[in-house]
Amino acid sequence: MRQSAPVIRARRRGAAIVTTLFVLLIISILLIGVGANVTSHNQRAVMDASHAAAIDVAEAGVNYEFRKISADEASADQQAAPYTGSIGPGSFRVYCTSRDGGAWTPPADLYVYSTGTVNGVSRTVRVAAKGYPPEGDFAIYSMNGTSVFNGSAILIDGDVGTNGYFDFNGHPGVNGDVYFCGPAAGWSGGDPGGYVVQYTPKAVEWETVEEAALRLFPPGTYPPGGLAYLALVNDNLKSGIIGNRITDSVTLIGPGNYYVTEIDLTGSKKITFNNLLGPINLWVGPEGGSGTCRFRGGTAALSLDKGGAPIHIYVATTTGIDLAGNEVLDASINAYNRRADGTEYGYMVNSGNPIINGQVISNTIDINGNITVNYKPGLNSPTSVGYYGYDNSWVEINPR
Amino acid sequence: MTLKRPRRHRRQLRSGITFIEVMIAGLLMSVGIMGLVSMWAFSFNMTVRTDDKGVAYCLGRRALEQVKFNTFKTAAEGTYTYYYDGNQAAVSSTAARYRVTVSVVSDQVKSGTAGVAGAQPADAALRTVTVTVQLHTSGEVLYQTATYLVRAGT
Repeated sequence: MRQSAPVIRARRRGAAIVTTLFVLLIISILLIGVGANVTSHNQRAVMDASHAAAIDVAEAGVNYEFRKISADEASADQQAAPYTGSIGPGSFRVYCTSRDGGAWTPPADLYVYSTGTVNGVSRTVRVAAKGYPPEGDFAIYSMNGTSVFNGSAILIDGDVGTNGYFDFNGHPGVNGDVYFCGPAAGWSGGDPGGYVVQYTPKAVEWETVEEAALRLFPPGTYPPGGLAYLALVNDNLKSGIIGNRITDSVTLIGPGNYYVTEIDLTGSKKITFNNLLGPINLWVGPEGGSGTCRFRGGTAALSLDKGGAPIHIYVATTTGIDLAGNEVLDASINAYNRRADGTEYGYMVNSGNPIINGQVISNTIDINGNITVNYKPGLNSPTSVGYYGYDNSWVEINPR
Repeated sequence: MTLKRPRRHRRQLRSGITFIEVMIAGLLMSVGIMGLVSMWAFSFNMTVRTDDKGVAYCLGRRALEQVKFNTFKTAAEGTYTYYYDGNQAAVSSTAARYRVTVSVVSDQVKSGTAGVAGAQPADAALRTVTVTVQLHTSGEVLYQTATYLVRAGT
């Protein structure tokens, strides 16, 4: 049965609107989906960028702390009181701990924790750090007071450094840099010019003569330990040294520890070091003594360059050591000492034109004449940390 | 009593309703299409922005890693600007879509002036590295990051 025309028209009423709404609905759903997708994608891109920047800022915090403790370990930010700083687009929060998680005590190895935050995104890294020795291959290092370098024919092959002052008269030749270490270091009498000068915020510390003696002869094993032990037990007889005095030519045989209270060599008299079989240490004491120590060369049987065993001359007296004559000395000289009250002393002077193949460390140094010092590595190492930096581990804590 | 409209009158009334329907439908369609177009424009712009941010992120990372690769001692002091097109290829400023500004400033120098090209950082310096990626035309900042360089640092 066919429906009448009015019924059909009635059914068609509203069809256009319904169809339009339906089409719009479908397209809207599709576009909303697309919109949600691109918005989500954009948010993800912003989030990724913030994550990347946060790790950069966290690293900035680590490096900030490295610089801080390198200048002064005592200023380290501990976990209980972290430091908060800002850089570029974000901020960081940083602190140090010991490797076992407790409070850090310098100069031990440490961890540095740093959290970087950018646009509300935070990331934390933990970096293993350690202290590095001070820079510089020091042919000469003086600890305090003013060290005077007279003469233009002085030739120093290596760096020279001080925690005190240098007074360069006559423009000595330095094939290396001049280091002023610590806040008190600098030129005495003004910068003579012509030198590459390095300034470091921290003073460099070296082992004193007594500390070296105690390290080699600790009281527990070698009572009473240190120089006091060496005064009692030494290898003097092996080289025929009588009465702890050297006043004539002598050959010191390695390995051996020789202890004297006086060295007074004149004319052609000299000490020869037979280091073919081992290292030689020549100790001049007692600590704070005032015996004469006049050296006239000391040639090694086998130089350090050719693999010879090291030779050390330790001078613990207040009168120090005088390098006379024009001979070669294949040894390091340590004339740096500290009394119980903390007062430092030790002195090296040259009255001749010797050639030293080694290293000179003293509280103060006066160089006269045309001395030559050729730095040889591996003889002495500073006891202080030059700076702190990355060691061997970098990890993100709780990565996303 | 029931009043009955004449048949012809009823037909005219039904025809008017259909016309209004079409008018309403057209209005709805117009409003809807305007909304859809703006939605499409929004999506398109958002996609472009996302693309810009992605490229800026890559360019920024590349710039920062290059400075770190150059290390504390040899990273060049000063402010440098680089230009890139949409394919991240280095181009001249006239053809650039992105501008990357790298700034390296030391707080202590051995020689020269801090923040100026040619200066040498002191060993104990804290060197601030800032990388900013912008749309070259508008100057809008798309990505920024920063870090410090120190001797023996990460």
